[in-house]
Amino acid sequence: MKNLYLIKIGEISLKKGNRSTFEKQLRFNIKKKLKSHSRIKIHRGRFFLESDDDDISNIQYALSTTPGLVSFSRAVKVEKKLEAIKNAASLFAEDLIKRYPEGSFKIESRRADKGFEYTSYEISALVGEHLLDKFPVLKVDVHNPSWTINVEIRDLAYVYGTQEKGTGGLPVGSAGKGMLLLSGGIDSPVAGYLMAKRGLQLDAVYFHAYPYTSDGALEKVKTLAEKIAPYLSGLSLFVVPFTKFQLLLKQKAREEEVTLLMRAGMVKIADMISKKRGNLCLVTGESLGQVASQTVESLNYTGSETDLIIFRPLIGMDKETIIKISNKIDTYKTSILPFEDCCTIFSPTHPVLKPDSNRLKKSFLLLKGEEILKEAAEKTERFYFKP
Amino acid sequence: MKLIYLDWAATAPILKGIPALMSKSLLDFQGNPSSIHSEGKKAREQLIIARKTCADLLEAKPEQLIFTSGGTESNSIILSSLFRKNKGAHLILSAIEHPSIYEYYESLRFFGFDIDFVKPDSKGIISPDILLKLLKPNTIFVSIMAVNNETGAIQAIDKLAETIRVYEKANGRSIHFHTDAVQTLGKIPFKPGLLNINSASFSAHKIGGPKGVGLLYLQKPVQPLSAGGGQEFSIRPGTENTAGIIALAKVMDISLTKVNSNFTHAKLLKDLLITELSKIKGVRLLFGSDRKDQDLYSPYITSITVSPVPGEVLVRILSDEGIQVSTGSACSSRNRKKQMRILLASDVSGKDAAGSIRISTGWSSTETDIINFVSVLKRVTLELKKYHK
Repeated sequence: MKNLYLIKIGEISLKKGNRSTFEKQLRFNIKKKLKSHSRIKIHRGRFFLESDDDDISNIQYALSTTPGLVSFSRAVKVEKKLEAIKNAASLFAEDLIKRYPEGSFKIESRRADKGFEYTSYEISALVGEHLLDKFPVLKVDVHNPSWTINVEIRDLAYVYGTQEKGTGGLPVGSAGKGMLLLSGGIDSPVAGYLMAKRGLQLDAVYFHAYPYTSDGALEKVKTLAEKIAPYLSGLSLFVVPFTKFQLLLKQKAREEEVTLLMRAGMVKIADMISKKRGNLCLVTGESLGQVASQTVESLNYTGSETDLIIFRPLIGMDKETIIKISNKIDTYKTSILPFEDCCTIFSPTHPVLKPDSNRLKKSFLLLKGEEILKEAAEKTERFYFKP
Repeated sequence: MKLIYLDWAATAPILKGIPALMSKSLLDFQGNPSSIHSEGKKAREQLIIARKTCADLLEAKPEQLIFTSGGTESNSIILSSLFRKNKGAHLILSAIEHPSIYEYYESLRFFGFDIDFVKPDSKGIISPDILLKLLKPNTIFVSIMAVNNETGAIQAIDKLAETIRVYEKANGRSIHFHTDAVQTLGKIPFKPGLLNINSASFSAHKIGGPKGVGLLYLQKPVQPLSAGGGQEFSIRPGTENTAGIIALAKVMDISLTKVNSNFTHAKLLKDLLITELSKIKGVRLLFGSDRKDQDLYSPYITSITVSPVPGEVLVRILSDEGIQVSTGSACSSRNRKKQMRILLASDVSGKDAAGSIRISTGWSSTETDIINFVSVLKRVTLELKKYHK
């Protein structure tokens, strides 16, 4: 059976001349996720998806995790006959009663084909009456229903199930490419998700300091990458062997500067890989004042070690808000797994809070770490995660 | 790369012949030992034989042995039976107990028991005097581990038992003395039936048996918290793991009859290990650095520190070199304090504990294993010490 969905786009509809570029991208991103053959028709700003995929949950998951669409509803296309419409509505109702056992409903109708024998009001009343007869548990509530079934009379009759929420935002790939600095923590997956919603296509980079960080920590980051990959429309994760550089810091750097110089090293490597991959920006999960390396002075310094723009979508958010989003995209429980690793032995007890950029730039040069960083970037391993 | 296995205190390689014995037992004795028919009887007879074998080896009576799923469950049966006792009673747990005992303190406290922890001295030893100071007229329970899995400290269970019995007699209230003896089995002579203790725990997989089977020695029955079909004298209900129990009896038979030669072999290896380690700068024994104290520790277990190198990092590097050792303390996980508890309670500093690794040997460990291990350790620590000063 072909499954039909009505997809509503939000922000894309505000676009004027280049709207079709966004629409094309969204169409491409949705089709990429669906295993079976599917077609998407665009009609007056509305997307109609017809898929051969039998697994409804698979289609629903694909749609709910694709930025660029605000909502979607399952639909059935039937003959323009009242009986057929009633039957289709019953099918949806049966499923919805299971999901909302105590819930109420309403039917909303639109008659685009004025030749149809019933008015919108009549369609709603007749279909509603049919459902009440068939399912005695049901109650009507036209003001605040738990679910709504929509009926539209056009070339054929379309019956839509209740509206499911989408991710919103813009389709991934419509706003260029960037590199996400992914740690194992709570913040960076959220930052990646938020930027993907602005249409940015992302790679991710993780700095692995084996044997100071365990393979468990790497597995955790891979799990996070897998979890955000659907929102990001697929993700390449670059795992950088970072130990040599950390040991260099341990040997040569002033203790209080270690964290910032390490961040600078990360930015430099992300920059190198980005330039090979055509990424035009870096994305981090930094939030102002959260830790010593996230003060204005510190961010100014780490930002100065690359000529790429750094997006920090969490900069003004508090932890509570970040955790909320992290729960929503299901990364929180993974992020808090205790794989904080031996990297902490590289972090100073009293890190510098208000660094002087020029002084740190000098410190960085004194490390003479360029070769080590280049080597790390070259030895990077790549893992791909499907959308 | 030849694997060098030096983590016997965690688990021992399965003994030759045990997998075959188990698979044969699984086929030959399929009946439920509680069934009255002939298949059930066949299985039941095997349990009787196994129980008799184990009892003879431990100088105990067959009815004093309960087959369990391992050390943790054996401990748990005893600790959970306390919930049936009068609230407010006084319990003593050693500060160096295995988590399967130690972690009970929270719920015991929650249910109103008064708990004291008995701390060992700086050598990791709990002397009768230290224990005596904590005994109270309402003390009903004491648990002290026979051989510690991290420090290797051997407690004088006989002397501790004597102290308890003398106090008990004067005070007129009986005290249950439990010991987790998992690290003694087949390694250090230990016969619960000859000691004046109330219960002791053992496990099969530490001596080359399968995981998932163990023993509880019970001088007299306790009233368990769990209920079921009455198996194992109602103390550990549940259909018996026939094949596992047959294997347990077999590995106990093999290792306990050789306990003295095993011990001599382990001592020889430990001597060699200590001599070789003393040649590496920056590596220290955590216990028994004074040679005259050696008898206080299990010859199978050696804890060293490579501080300030994190033990966890060293374990990973050694593992990549084909050497399996373990660390009691993970570097900086949230449970750091919890994981270092035993070493900290034994007066090891936080820094030394964070840099600790445990080397534990067994009967198939060889001198070559020790020599090769030490030579890799030397190379690796020399490199690491460049960065960790």
